[in-house]
Amino acid sequence: MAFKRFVQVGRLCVVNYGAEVGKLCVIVDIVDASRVIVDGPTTGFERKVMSLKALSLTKVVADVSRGIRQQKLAKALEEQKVIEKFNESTWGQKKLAAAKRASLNDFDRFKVMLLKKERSLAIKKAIKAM
Amino acid sequence: MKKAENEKIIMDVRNAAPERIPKPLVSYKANKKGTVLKKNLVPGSIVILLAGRYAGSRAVFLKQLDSGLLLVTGPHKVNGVPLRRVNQRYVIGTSTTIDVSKVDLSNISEEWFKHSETVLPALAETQKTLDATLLAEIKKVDSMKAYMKAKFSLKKGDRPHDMVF
Repeated sequence: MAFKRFVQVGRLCVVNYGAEVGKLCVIVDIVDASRVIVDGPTTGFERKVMSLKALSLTKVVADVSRGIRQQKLAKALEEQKVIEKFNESTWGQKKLAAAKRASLNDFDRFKVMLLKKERSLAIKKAIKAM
Repeated sequence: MKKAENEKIIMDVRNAAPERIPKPLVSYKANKKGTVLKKNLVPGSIVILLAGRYAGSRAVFLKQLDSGLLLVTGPHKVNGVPLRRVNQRYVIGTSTTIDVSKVDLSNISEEWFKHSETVLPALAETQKTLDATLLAEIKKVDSMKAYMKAKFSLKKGDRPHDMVF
């Protein structure tokens, strides 16, 4: 098949535009060819209609029924470990790393700088040894 | 009621309505509450000095003096910042702290920092003992000494409003 990720009920998406940028949400219903109803119980935003242009589809799909209520959706996401599956993917890992990087405090940033220097030195030594 | 030309009208305070009795204006001269310490500053917090001779240096916040100014020190042995008063507005408080419970600040008074020639030996003595105590605490944490020695600066890509301190 040419396409692998479909807009379907249960598809986990990342919001890429608007107030909820960066948050994960699940497609709960389809309005028309360009809009879907989306709910983010785990990332804290209420069910709303969103344009598909504002969403990036992930490869994770939750097994939920159309129009599922928010609390049941939250429960299903937890049981099926949907967010964990996403976090295991490369995209998920990158998002986690970016979140960690943003939360570093001044001392942490200093320690990162020291580690980067250490790594760079090790690389240069290895290259020289070649 | 006939008034004489130069007679002042005196209000009968006992019978006047309360809203017509003149009250003294609020005096904003005396800051009665004192300077409120920034929420994230705790004795032992590492702070970044933003202005003055030691701008960019990191220092340990020891306590808030009566005048509202912060008492900080490098420690002097580590980065050259002496026991000094600093206004908290010119300081970024980081969330990193070191344990200052063993530190004795009882003999430090604000008078010392008013450039009195006679106080200098006592200040030097206190600085020495303070440095020794603080250095012991700093050494307990990995890379902390190097961190205190280093200066803070904004680098390309840094967005201070986004950075967590």
